[in-house]
Amino acid sequence: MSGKLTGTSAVMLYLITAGMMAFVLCPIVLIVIISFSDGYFVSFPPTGFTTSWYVSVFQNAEFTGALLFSFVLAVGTTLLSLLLGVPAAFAIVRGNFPGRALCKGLLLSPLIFPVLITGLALLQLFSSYGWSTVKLNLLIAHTVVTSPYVIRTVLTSLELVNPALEEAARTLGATRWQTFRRVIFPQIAPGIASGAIFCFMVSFDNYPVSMWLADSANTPVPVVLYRQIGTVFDPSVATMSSIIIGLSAVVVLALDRMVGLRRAMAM
Amino acid sequence: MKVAGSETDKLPGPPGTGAGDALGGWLHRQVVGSPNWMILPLLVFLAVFFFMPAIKLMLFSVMTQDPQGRIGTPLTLAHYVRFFQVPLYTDVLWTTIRISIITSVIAAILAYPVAIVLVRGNIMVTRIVTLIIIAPLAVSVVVRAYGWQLILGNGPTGLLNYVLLHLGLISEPLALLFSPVAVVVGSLHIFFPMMVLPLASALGKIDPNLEQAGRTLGAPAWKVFLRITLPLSMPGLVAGVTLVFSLSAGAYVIPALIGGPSSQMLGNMVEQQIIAVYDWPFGATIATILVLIVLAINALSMRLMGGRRIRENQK
Amino acid sequence: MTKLILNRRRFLHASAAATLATLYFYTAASAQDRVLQVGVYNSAQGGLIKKEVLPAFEKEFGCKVLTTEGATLANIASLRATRDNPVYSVMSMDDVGFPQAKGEGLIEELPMDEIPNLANVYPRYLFEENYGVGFAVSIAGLFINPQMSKPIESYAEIFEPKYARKMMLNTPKNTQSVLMLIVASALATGKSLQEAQYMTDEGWTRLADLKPNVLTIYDGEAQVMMVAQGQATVGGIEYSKAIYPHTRKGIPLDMTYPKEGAFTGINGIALVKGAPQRELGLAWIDRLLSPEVQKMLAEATLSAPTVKGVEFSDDSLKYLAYPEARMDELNLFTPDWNYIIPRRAEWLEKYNQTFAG
Repeated sequence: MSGKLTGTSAVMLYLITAGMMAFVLCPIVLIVIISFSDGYFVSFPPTGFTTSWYVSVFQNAEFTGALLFSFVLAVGTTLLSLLLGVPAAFAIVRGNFPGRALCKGLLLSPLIFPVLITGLALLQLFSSYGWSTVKLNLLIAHTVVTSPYVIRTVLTSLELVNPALEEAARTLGATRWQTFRRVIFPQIAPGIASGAIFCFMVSFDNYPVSMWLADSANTPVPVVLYRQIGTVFDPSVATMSSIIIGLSAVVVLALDRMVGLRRAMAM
Repeated sequence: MKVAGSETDKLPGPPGTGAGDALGGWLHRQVVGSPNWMILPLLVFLAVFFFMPAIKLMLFSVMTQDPQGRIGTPLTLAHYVRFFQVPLYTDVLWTTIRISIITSVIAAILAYPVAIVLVRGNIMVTRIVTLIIIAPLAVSVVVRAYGWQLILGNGPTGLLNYVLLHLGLISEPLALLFSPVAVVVGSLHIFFPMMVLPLASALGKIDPNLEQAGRTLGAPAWKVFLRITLPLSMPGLVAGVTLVFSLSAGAYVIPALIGGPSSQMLGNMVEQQIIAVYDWPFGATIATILVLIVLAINALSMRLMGGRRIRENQK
Repeated sequence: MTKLILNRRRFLHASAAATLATLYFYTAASAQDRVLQVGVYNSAQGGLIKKEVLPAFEKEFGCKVLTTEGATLANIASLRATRDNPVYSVMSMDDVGFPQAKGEGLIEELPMDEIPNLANVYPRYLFEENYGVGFAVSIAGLFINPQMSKPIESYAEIFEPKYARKMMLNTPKNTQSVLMLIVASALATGKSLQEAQYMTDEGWTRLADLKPNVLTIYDGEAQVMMVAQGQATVGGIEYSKAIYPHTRKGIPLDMTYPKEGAFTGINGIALVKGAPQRELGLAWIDRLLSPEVQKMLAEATLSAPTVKGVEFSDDSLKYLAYPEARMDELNLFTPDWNYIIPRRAEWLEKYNQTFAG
């Protein structure tokens, strides 16, 4: 599919694309640059060069605590989403009950529902039952938001599983478990992996759900950052943001190494 | 995918024990045999923690709240009447719809070239473009909104103003931040990948020979695009527009951080009603209206796509 | 094709480790026994309390103190949300909040004998029959960038076209917005602030004239720095505690008090009704009113203490409405909150309506 772009229209296309790439990267690069400036407040062009914001940010227990909190929350959310999502995806593809299309739609529906409102609905649910274990509430809420990603990626990869391979394995005397372990699982592993990474990313970055449910003892990192933007005007906010950008880059690279970005996004 | 699969397949697994095999057999029967029940855990989970709370929240919009903050009967439509009678809320409704439409249209126009490059460009270029398009998705909206605060900053110390002033294009710093334009720019940045990806996937399914044929027959590039590429990529376009519209309409962080008083959206009104005013029924009313808009646009898009498929089948 | 480095064994190991870590996370918290939850302001002052007051308090009382940050309305909303199952012991709110929180049965009377430092508080800072106590007093007025603007003589100036899109307006969610409405009413009617506060109908029309000048409605205290940066020229109404600490550091930011008058901005705290860890909560209130903390807060945020007998250097004192006699000299105006509270929700909506769209 390569080499199809030629002539002036190709130049135009490349130019527009280059412009859009600059547009997409600009705020992110700028944040990283600002995080090294040593002014009393954020301004452009940055003044001086210092790494002292990084030192102070890593000494800020509120921020490091939130990083750890968000990390564990994202891991828990991912596990719970996989635990609930992978079997459900199996049921949709391999099951034979009526209304499977409807069920698929229902399981994917949190994707189109405004996330802010999902959070509000859960706030109302948790407070009306007096559920004050904020960690658990956040875990549940994040899983509601992330589980459709598992459904989507695992469904896509399950639909591509080649039944001929399965049959061949059975014919050659593999047990059912072996067939699953050696034939089916490897084929859906990329789907599970990209579903897992999406869950992690979506949970780690989530603000609109956490803003309703977080409290002072349980604060995910986007909530801390949002609050910092409102109360601090020095480059430390840019530093915190840069650290989050760095972590996101690691996650994206992991996705690329494990599954391949193009394929992951097609799922 | 199969290549990857066969690769892992060669990796040795631990030898199976008897108990493991028994468990495996059971698991496998459940997995491969009759997995209908396996949908239940997630379905129940979502019923309890998504469908029911969402429905209950929407029911709040026809209930009343007593001075102690308890919500119940009598049922009333007064909140909806208030929403549509008070200019503030209808204004915010229009702002929300307007910003979402403008964002999706601009995103669609700009996404075509990028998606075409992504599908037809050379290997190195597509790899880089993919990385740049996808990587920001992993960065929190809060961070990206903050980045736009720095770029659009109103004084001479905002990046854009600084650049424009130094290029001599303007003599006074522009007031860019806290305007609907800022919200559109920020939303475009956040949701652009959601337009490019479905579009690229639809474009990838078009047989390049069709376009080639068009060009060989002497049609100019724009005509090939209008007659062949555009109609055939319609499913991707509709999916992208729907997604970008739904996400922009439900935004909170972007208007809160870079939108001014004239670019607040429905989500911000919901937050204000719940947090500052503590008026749950009215907050629920605004939320319900937001949800209905998003559902309507999704239903419309499904109809469009469905209609298309039926028409294609009739041919 | 990308190489797949994920294999089943690695996958299982990773899942097991992740499960263990998650389980640890969900059980570890219960190890802490005494937890005190208090509200602080979402401002520099709140950060200061977390940094300077909280660690020593935790150490001394062998407990964990968790803070939630918000302004008056959000804090009262938190109390309402936890009414049946109180989580917070002490909540911060401006003086405007006390009558409302008391009326709704969210807070209880401060026991004078269990909070020794209450005895040092100037009586004017005890509110609603001891249901709330102030702990920091700011002066509320406008703020400017002194490099770009002369002090504002009259509030009428900020309505002039020369400030088009140059003004930062405080969010209607904050108490300060009410003060702005009273100012607009005073300008519209030509009456004093005292009389104008009951005549807000005229004020709204006048306030609407401000719209072309409003660059943004801000709700983060840090955004006052936009005036220092030159993104805007004037802002308000704001408490001096948000401005003076920057002024003293030489940042181009200063308060200005137009002739129509300035307001008090009183940050206070209240004991939550049915507070868990009541003893610790009382100790926390006592701590905030102790001479040491009062002096520290006053010097760092340049807001006045509410207790007698704190000594300051002249450099700090010039920013403070302290001691009490100076407070009277400044002739600061405190609105009739009982008149305003029932109208607050409606005003919030009207505020939005005036400046949105």
